[in-house]
Amino acid sequence: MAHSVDFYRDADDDAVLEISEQEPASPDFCFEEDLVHHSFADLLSEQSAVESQSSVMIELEDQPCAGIENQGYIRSPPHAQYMLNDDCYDPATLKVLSFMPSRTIGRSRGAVISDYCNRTLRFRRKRARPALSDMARSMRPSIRDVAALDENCEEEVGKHMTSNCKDHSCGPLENNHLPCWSRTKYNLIIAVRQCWYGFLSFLNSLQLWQIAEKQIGGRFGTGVLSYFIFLKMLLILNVFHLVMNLSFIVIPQATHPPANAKGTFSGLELLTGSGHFTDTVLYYGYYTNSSWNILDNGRSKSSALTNSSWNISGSEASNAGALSIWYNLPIAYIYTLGTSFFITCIILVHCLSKAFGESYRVGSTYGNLVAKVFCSWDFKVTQKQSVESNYENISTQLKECVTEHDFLTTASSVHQKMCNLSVHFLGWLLSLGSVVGCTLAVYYYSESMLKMSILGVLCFHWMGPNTKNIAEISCWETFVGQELYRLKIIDFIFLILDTVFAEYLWRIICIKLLKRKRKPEFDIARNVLDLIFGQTITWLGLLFAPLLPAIQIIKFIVVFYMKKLSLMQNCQPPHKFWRASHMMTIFISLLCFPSFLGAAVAYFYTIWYIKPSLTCGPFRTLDSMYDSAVQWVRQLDENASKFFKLSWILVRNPFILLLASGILLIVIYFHWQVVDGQRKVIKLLNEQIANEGKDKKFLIGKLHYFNRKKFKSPRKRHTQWEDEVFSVND
Amino acid sequence: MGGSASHLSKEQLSEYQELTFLTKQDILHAYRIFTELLSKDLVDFQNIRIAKERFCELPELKANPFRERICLVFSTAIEKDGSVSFEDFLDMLSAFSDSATLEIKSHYAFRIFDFDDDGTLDKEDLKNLVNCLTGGTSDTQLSEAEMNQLIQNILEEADIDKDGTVNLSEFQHVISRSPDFVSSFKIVL
Repeated sequence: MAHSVDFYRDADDDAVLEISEQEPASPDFCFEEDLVHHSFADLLSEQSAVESQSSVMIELEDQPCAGIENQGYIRSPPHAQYMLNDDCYDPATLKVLSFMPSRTIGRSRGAVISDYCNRTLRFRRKRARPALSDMARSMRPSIRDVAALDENCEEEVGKHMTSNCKDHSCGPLENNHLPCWSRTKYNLIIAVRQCWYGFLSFLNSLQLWQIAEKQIGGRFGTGVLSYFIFLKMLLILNVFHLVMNLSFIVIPQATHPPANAKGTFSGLELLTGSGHFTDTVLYYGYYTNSSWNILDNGRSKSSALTNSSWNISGSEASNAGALSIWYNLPIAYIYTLGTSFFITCIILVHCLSKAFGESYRVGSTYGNLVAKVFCSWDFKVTQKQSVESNYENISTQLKECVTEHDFLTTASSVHQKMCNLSVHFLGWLLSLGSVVGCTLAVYYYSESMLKMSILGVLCFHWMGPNTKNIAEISCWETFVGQELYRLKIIDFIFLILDTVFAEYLWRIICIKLLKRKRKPEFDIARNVLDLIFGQTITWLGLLFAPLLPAIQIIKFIVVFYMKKLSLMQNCQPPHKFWRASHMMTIFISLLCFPSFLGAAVAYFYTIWYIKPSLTCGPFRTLDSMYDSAVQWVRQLDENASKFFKLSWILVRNPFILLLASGILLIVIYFHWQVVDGQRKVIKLLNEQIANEGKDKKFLIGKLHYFNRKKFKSPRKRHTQWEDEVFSVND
Repeated sequence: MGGSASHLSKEQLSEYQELTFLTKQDILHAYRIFTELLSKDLVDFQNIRIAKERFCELPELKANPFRERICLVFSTAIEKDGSVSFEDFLDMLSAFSDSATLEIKSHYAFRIFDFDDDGTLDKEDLKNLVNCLTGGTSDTQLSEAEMNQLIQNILEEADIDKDGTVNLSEFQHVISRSPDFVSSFKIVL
């Protein structure tokens, strides 16, 4: 059964090991040792075999530089790293060592799990497996927290449920012992939880493109997969925008169409966006500044064409004597836009903080060798070819790490230092020369930079001095909307051409003409920048062409399948090891900062400062789009709707904004200080652990010394640190 | 509800969903794959075990250098031969799923990397691990000197109490600071 270990001093004043059999007091000993300690039993039996070969060992001791393969003769490494090697200890010491907590942690946890596996297995064999609700305990051991449990304390099972397992309160459902109210309560909780799981399953089944993602991840790894996940995220965002626009702007206007003459439809409109499309729900110009009574469909009121008399609800309603809820389209337009942007902002900030939190941690270990060894194997990869390229990748990285580490730590003579200097100088020259390479890279990426600058120029062009020409264009917002529509279509066409030329043709060129064995790699950076550019256009166009997200959705669906096809046919798994968590952070921050913020700033400027056109759109006849909201709020004053008034004050007041920013800054500073403190604590704890390790070695040395003195075993060999330890005792 | 069912009943499905991190679709999918691996005439899927070699032929595991260790770790066979039952299979998928916690994943990763099952990662374990990571071919494998240097570096960085081995706590300490682990320690059926 279990063992407990104790020291006592006997008559000779030696430390004697007593291993006695007793009832276990601590939970660490509640498992069958045979199952778990078999490896140490092997070790002990080996040790006794080794003892008989002492003559052989003495021979080997004479060799000057025993290699590291000879386990018993490892020298202390130069940087004073102490290593325990069990083979030099006698069996008594070994027995003690085998009970050390640090050696039993992994095994005891593993033992708990395998023990519970065995117990539930026995349970299962005893009877047909009972239903969950009837069974007192039915925990799958694999998802339990590893708080060790005694075989005798089954009651502990209920108490030790942790967040690691989906908790199920099967315990209290034993019907005999509960009052009626508690039973009902528990039934209710379980029913709610079942509903929740059902909902989660439903959501899971709705997941788009799961199989495709698995194929891509299996062949190309997590790096390339993150591009497709980003694409999916943008698709969902656009679906949200479309739903908002459809429900609050497009459908109300479509059910109350203004009487406009429409042109004939010809196929060219799909490309140019003008012609027949100009006077449809696609563009800003179609929408009117009317309000409709939702309850009574027939009555609608358009505002008068002058600024002052914009009085809608008040007297009309009271005259009619009927209850009416007025749906005001201009207000709906502005508020839908504002709400969409606000919610998008919150979603983006949340995603960004989550991605940031995952990729930057206190004492994070990027480039760290150990993290590379333990975490770099991507279990999702299933294709043999990808696995082989992973082998090469990891092998190269590990070799690089080893040589770099070597280089940093080996002491160098003067000669070596001179060599180092000359190598550095050469490297410096080379990097100067590689400015040429940089210009090539700029040329290569200029396509993306060009797109961004096009957008910037266009925005300036629309908002800048050319607005003087608005008199010539009757409806400048529709014009801007059409420009954006065309930009979108052309972007789509270029994306298709890009896939064909950059990937398909390049592969053919690579293989046939340049005779390289490998296909080109999937360029993640360029493709992501394309996506962000497309999304920026959509955001800019939300005000002027409310149905633009629909086009974006169609484009994303087509792009997904096209890119996937091209990826499978034309590309090979990437050579460079992409850190997936960093990548999502970078993508989302690129999406947030230039793209979303730019669109938001452009909207602020448009809504506050630019005069809407006189004859079209929901804000005709006003000085600025913002005025519609101001007038509406003034009306609310008359109707004394306190809630809206309050929210309006909160939004408009600059003091509130200052207060909010101040609070945000304080919170950021606080978190920064906490992180700083944690870093210091980690450093201190590391030192403490190292010191504890030294204490342990010292004590083990003492134990060993006492045991050897007691059993008078021949001294087999000396190690450097053994001498140090024993010199303290002498 | 019985020990020898030839079909996955609703109660069993919801029970499995409660006890693992998997959803019902995942469990059904796993059931389909498991029954395909069995020979046609054996229908008692709950009590049957699939041999390690047969199990390692699954497309998700075929190319994985750790497939044998995975079978051995998740198997609950008394004979310790790595044979996998249906519940072991679900266990495996649950530990490798999206919703499994970091602690579960790091615990199982530690057991998978512990080639000699002694509860710590000593030099031999680390050697085996690096050989698995770099494949078996001669041009990718590290030389003897490189390997020793590498293992020494690893122990220098990871072995906090300086006892020459990496135990579970030290392993989890490394894992917790590396955000890529959760996304790479996944198997999708």
